[in-house]
Parts: sequence; structure tokens; C-alpha cells
Amino acid sequence: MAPARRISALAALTIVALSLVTFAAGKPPAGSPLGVGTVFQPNPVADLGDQTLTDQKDADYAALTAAYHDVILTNLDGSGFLVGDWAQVVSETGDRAYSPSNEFRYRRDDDRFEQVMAYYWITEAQKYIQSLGFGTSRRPVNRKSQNVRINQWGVDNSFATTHKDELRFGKGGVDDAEDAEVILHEYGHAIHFSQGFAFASAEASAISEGFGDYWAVTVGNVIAPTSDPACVADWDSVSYTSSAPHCLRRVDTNLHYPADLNGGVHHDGQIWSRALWDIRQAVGNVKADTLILEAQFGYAGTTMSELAATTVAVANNLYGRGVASQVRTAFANRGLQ
Amino acid sequence: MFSHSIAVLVLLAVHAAGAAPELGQPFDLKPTEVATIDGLQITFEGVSEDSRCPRGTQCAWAGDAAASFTLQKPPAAALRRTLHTNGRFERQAETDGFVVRLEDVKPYPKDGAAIAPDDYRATVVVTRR
Repeated sequence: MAPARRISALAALTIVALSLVTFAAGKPPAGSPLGVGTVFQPNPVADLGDQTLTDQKDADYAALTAAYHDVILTNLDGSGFLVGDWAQVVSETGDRAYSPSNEFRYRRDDDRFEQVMAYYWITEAQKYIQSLGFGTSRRPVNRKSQNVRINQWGVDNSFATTHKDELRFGKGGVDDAEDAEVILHEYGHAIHFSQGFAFASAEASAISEGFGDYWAVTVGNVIAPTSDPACVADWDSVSYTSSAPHCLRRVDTNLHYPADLNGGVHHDGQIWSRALWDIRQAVGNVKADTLILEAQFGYAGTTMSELAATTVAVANNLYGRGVASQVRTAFANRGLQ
Repeated sequence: MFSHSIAVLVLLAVHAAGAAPELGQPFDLKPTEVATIDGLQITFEGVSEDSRCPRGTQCAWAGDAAASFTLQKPPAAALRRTLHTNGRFERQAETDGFVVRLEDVKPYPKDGAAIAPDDYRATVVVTRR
């Protein structure tokens, strides 16, 4: 049984009000930054606690009905497209989502559903970042409209690249942008790009993968808590995992530095994600995410140990010795002294 | 002089054809190419999917290249198998006392550079079970 949604009551009221304002007059709300969209929160497997769900060739089917949620889309530019302050869909397979009344209700068998997913989750992630003070009392973190390409890669993977400063989501298996945790993982890389994080070593790349996984679950659990929060991409992974629970990876594994490093950046990143997860468990998401984001600025891409030491120092500066001690313990438990 | 030239030509011909595949030694196959080791015919049919993370990008996972093969030791029936580069999936197949293992698929993807189907090469190792 998934935990109750924190925003459901407020969202429902706002959606009703928005719908009344929007549609009673029978004409589009020209220039409105608000809209309504249908999304998964964060994905059907985690939301419904049902490990038997499968892709079924992109079909919409009855067992998924309860996983669709109407949410408020914010920060739209009023063009009727999914373009806004913090995200913009720059290309897609099939029809480009367009609604002069900002009503974006689609199901997963419609490629426009993934466009809504990306717009919503990236926008909410950036709003969460700003709620921690980044961009106001702290330096901004990726405070721009993030380009995303939806279903533009015909295979089962997604990537972030500085080449065009975009996130690209694939179509193989479960369409990747149907899982908010895949979207947030890639947005984690975009966060690093924006912070001057140097991908100068295998350990730096592993840190970025670990942070991406952590970012997926921390934001996912702020917006839509689930019963197994440490499982990453429960829905996307049903296509390539054979046992339940289906997880692309987890953030609560018991890997240690340096003994468990094997050179695979996603594997090795689980050392880092576990440390971040333990920090969050110890001090809560607000302090954890603030100090983790703050510590990453200008990371030179050296070692995990160096960024761990920086993170402890940032914790001390922001919250004092008690929190710094908890952060130090989380890293030390991974072998990062 | 003449015999020397013949010898050079023979050496060149052998080099161009590539060394015959040997048990336990990796060798490359082009799409539709057939290699025979101890009577086992291995045909690389091609790459059916390549989701490996392109160089220079940060991906959700490492991805996978799926390579299809036909394995046959006459008179036994041909066996069609898909082998993978990612350890999450099947990397080797067994037939008629042989183990056929996919070691690699080349070239590795780069961001913005599509790989033509004919440009793939599968690196395979065959051993006795």
C-alpha cells in the first residue's frame, strides 16, 4: 500500500478551480502559466505496489488505471506547448503535445504522455531545488529551461549530454519517460553539468550516476512517496529484470569503497548513492539535499573521498558539527573517510 | 624469384582471409559471415538492438548490444540464439558440446554517430564444454 500523497488534496482543489476557470468560458486561457496534465507518480509499479505489471507493447490497460494522476502543470509559457521556465520538449516522436487550454491528459499508449511526464517532473524538480534556496539565497542550480527530447532514441536507454545540453529519452521496453525516476536520474546529470562538476575520472562519473539515482528517489519521495523508496525506476526496469522487486538499481545496497569498485560507473555509483541515502535518512531531505547540492559546485572530478570530505565540510558550515558528524558517519560506513 | 613471389602471394592471401578461428581464441565476425570451428558453424546474423551508452554521455544504465547468431553442427538442426554484451542477459550459448560466448560488439557507439548494420563486428570465443 503506497503512502498517502501529500499534494493530492491541494492538487485536486486547484485542478477543479483551474478547470472551472479554464473551460467555463469555452475559450483558452491565453498566456496562462497553469495547466492540467496526467502523469505517473512516480511510476505504476511503485505507486500501486504491483510487481506483476508489464509493458505489453506500450498498451494502456485496466490494471494501470489507478496509476494515472491529474496534476497541475506550472510555469508554462502560454503557447499551448509544453514549453516553460524550467523544461521544454524540443522534439518528439508522433504528435507534439499542444493544447490551447493547457489541458494535457493522455495515456501511456499516446506518445504525448511521455512529454507531459518530462515537463512535469523536471519542472517540479527545479521548483524543489529553488525551495531549498538555490537561485535566491544560494547559487542557482540549472535554473533554466531544460531541453528534453522524448522517445527520440529507439532503444531502451536514456542519456544526458553536454553536446547539445539536452536529455534524451529512449523508447525500448517501457518508454523511459514513463518512469519519473529515469527522468529525474538524467536531470541529476544536468544538475552536475550546471554546477561545473568535472567528469574527469571514473570515480567522478560513478558519483554522477550515484547522485542521479539518489536524486530520482529523493525528489520522487518528496512529491509522491512510495513504500519502497530505495528502488530506482521500478517501472522502466520490468523490461530487463527477471525478479521482484524490479529495480534498475537501489540506493540502499551495502557496497564499500574501494573493495567493491569494479569500474562500472553505474555499479560503483551505488556506493555513493547509499551514502547520500543514509545522510537523508539521518538529517531529512531538506538538509540533506541542500548540503549535497551545495557541496557539488566546482567538483574537480577527482575521487569519491575528496567530494565526501567537501560534503562534510559544507554540512559543518551550513548546519554545524552535529549534522557534519552524521554526514561523516554516512560516508565512513561506505569506506569513504 | 618466381617461387619467392608465389610464397609472398600465398602469405598475403592467408592474411587477407584472416587466421582460421581456433578454440579458446577470440575472433571477429561481420554480419552474415560464417566461421567454422571443429565442425561447428557460427553465423553472425547481425545486431538487433544497441542501447549501449554512447561515449561522452551519461546514461540511465550501461545498455546492451544484442547480437543474433545461428549455430549449427551438421547434421544437427540449426539453433538461433541472441547473445548480449551486458551481463544482465545471456552472454553465451551451449550447443553440441560447445560454448559460444559473445565477448564484444564493435564499434562502440558515439553520441550523434549512427552505426550502419554492416559495420558491426561481433567478437566471439568458442570453447568446449
